[in-house]
Amino acid sequence: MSIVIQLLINGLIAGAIYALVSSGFSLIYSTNKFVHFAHGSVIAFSAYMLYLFFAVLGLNFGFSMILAVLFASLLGLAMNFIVYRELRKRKASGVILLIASFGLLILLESLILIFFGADVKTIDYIHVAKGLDIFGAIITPLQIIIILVSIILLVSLFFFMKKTKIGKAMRAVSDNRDVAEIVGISSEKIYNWSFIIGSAIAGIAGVLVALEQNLDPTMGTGLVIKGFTAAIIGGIGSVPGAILGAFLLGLVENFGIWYLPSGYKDAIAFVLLFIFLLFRPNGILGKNKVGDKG
Amino acid sequence: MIKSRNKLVWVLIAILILAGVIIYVNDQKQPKDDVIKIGAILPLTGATAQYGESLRDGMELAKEELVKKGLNLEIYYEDSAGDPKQAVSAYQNLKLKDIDIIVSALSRSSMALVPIVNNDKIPLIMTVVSAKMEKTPYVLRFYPNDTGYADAHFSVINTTKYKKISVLYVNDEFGISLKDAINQNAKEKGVQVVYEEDFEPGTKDYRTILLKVKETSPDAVMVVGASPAEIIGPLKTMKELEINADFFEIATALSIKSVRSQTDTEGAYTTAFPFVLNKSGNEFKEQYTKKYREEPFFAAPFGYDIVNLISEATKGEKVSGEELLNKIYALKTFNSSNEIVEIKENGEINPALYSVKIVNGELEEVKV
Repeated sequence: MSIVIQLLINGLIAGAIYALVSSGFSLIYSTNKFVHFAHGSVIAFSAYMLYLFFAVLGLNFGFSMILAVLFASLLGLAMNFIVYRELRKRKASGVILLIASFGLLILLESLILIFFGADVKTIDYIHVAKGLDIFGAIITPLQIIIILVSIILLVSLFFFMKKTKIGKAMRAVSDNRDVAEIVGISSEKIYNWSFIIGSAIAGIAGVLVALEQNLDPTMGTGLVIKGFTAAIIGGIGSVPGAILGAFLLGLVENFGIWYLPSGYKDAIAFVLLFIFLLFRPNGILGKNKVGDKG
Repeated sequence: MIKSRNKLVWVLIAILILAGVIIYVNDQKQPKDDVIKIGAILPLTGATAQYGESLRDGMELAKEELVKKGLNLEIYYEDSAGDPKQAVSAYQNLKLKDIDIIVSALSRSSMALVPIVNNDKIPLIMTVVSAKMEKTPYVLRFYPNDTGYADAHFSVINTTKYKKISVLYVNDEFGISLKDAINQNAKEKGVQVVYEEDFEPGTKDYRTILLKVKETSPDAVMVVGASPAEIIGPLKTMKELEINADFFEIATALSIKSVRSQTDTEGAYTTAFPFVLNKSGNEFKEQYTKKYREEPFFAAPFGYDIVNLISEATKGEKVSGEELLNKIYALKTFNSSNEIVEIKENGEINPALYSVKIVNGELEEVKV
């Protein structure tokens, strides 16, 4: 029994991190209608900003976290403003934007490598602690924080999208940009907001991952692939779907490698993806969108 | 409009052809100089870049010292990122530069070069490579091999204290070779390997893998990782999951001070070279610290020693291919930063390696 609970906890921890990545990723996709792979570099950037402010400059930890998330958010906005907006002005297709996002991912990872070096880095704020015993399973205080922060943030995002003016405008642009513009919603403004909010969520993911794991410049690449997978499983373009997909992915991966060698972890994730693509291509919460104008 | 566009295309094609011809002619005209050219294929980016950078710094220091002595040589660096495909591509680039000898690092990328250098008859010296290897004509290894690594820890592992061990290893040439060597040693010593599992390079989450290990209640967990992160990750998770077993890492990563300081490594076992334990190489350490303003870790002396080995063998004379190899073999021994090493006929140059325990953050040699 304790093994099942432990696997459940392991799956929830992984799922919580994936959910933060996939929700921001899905938010940007739903409004902008292209796959923003450079989202991964925002995660790594935020982790390294935390390292810079806290471990190198010795600032207060809470303040360092806020700065890291803020800078991540600004980076997302800058990417949209400097690269994607200019490409959109030139009537670039989704494929061009996708290639640009790959370029940005590689560029930012290389810049992190140049500025911070290649050696392994950890943020030693929460020391390796003995875990708490929950029905024979072990979870550390940091892991509880990761799950709680993730849940609180995702619930807040849900209400933000449902209740606020910007959230409603985002949904309108996501549903049909042309109609949204007719009723006076500026799609460019909404694109900016989606990058600000999506990148801030990625920033929070980066901070939490930095506390739990080691830092390396390419740390965001693996996460964004998992986030992308979760977003497709949940229904691409649906933020709640992406969150559900992320938790499902985390649980399936961890239960899967209990029975199979851990080398199959990524294979398990992609088998799950194929199952969804074959039998439920719109994902868990995805809708059939006929005639989507994008 | 269409006509002028066609004209432009033809002009562009003509420029490209002309540029190609000029580059080719210039390349042919270039005089063949008379200095030894070393091509270094190192992981300068990626998870193992720390090793590549350190090797490069050691090589540069050796070059600087040799140039001061009037022995000229050229070193060209290429980044493998620890990836076999990139290593092969880097090799092709170096071949265009008329390289006399190749230096490469990491099992993962170096093993891909073995058949190619043998075919091209270009000598290759591999370092930070411990994967199992059959003797091939043009390849030398300046580093402990798989059995050398496993033997270091098994000199202290015995059935009195360790009846059952579990093995976690990275799924690449290095990890698989080391896992086999551990199994062989365990069999000889009568130690039972109760669990073994591989993990993919770059794995970040070790929770469920180590949960499986915990279920087997081993006395020791041996971890074979290719990068420092692949050692720190399992160690951290082992403590979180309260696995009451001794932690042995095989890849010497914890002998690096900056890696040790990343997490609670107290009581863990690692391996260390004579240089790291201050048994030799003090002069190199002094020069390195002076130049780079930081202490070298275990990889740097290998870069330094390999350049000096090539220089000592050739004495500044431009030689290549089999002749260069024969000159290296003719040395028989070499006074390295890791004590005097034997240049064996099977291409192995294996410095000593010791099992050490981390006590109060420092390395303490485990006396048998």
